[in-house]
Amino acid sequence: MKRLTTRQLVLMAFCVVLGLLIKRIISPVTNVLTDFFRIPGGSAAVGFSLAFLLIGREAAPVFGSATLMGFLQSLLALALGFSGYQGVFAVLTYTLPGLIIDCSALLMKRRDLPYFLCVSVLSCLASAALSDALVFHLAGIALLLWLLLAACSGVVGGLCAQLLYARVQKILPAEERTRT
Amino acid sequence: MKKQTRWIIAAVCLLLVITVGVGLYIRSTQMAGEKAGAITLNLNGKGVTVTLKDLNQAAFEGETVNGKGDRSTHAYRGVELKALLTKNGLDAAKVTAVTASSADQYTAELTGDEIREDKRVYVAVEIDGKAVEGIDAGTNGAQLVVFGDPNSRRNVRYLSVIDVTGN
Repeated sequence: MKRLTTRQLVLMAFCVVLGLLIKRIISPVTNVLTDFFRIPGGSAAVGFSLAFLLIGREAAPVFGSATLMGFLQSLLALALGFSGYQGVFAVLTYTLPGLIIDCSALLMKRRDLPYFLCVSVLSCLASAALSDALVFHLAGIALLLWLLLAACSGVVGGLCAQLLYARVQKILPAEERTRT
Repeated sequence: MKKQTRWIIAAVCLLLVITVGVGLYIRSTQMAGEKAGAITLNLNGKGVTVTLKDLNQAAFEGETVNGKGDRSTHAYRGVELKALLTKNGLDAAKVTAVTASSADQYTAELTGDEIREDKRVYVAVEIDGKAVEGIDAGTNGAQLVVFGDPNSRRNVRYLSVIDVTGN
C-alpha cells in the first residue's frame, strides 16, 4: 500500500478541520434560506464542507483517505457539539460522502470540472438522503427541496474544489500529485 | 466557450430554476394554509381543509410526558382524530397509518390501531385555556396530542397536514 507523507497527512488534517469550520461559518447564511422554506438547515451547507474532503482526497490520493477524513470530521463534530440534530448518526452521514468520493476517485481518472461537480453533487445527495432517512424523515415535496438544495450546495462545493485543486497540486511534489 | 462548459452552465441553471420553483411552491402552499388558519387532511391522496373553528369541538384532558420525563396534566379543547376522520367521510376502522406534519416539516407517524384506540390521539386548538400558537407570531394553530407515549415527540406543534392511508 502506498504510504502517505507527512505533508499529505498535514494537508488531510487541515482539510478535516477547515471542512468542519467552513460549514459552521456558512450555516447561518444558508439557514436564512432553509428557514424561509421551513425545512431543516444543513443540506444547503454540506457542499462547502465536502469540497475540502474532495481537495484532501486529491492531496492524499490513496483509497480510503476521504472516508478517513469524513470519519474524523464526524468524531470532531461529535466532540465539539457540531453534530446538531444528527447526534451519533453524524458518524454515518459524514463518513458516507467520504466513501463516495473515494469510490468515484477510483473509477474516474480525469480531474476536471465535470469530475468535481459530479462527485460533489453525488456525495452531497447521499449525505442529505441518509440524514433524511435517519433523522429528519422529510417526505414528498419537502424531501425534493431538501435534496435539490443539497445538489445546489454540491455544485458550489464542486466549483470551489476545482478552483482550489489546481493550487493544492502546485504545492505538492510531482510524485504526490494526482493525474490531471 | 467550450461546449462542455456550456452544458454545465445550462445544467446548473436548470437545477437552480427547479430548486427556486419547488421552494416557492412549498412556501405558497404553507402561506395559503396559514392564512386560512386551517389544517389539511389528506385522505388517501384527496385533500380536505379543516378550519381551526371546526376543530374546536370538545373539551378533554390528559397527562403528557416531556423530554425530561416530567409528567403534567393539561386541559384541552379540540377533537379526537378518530372522530375528525369519521366526520370527513373516512372509516377509522380502515385506517392503516397516519403521518402528521408540522408547518416546519416535522413529522410523526401513527398506526391505525393507535388512531382507533379510545382517548389516545387528538388534535388540540386550546391548551389550558390558551389558544395553541401558530408558527408565526400572533397566529393560532393546532397541535397533535398523543396520550400514553413515553415522551412528547409525537405531540406535533404547528400542525399543518395529516396524511391518512387506509384501505
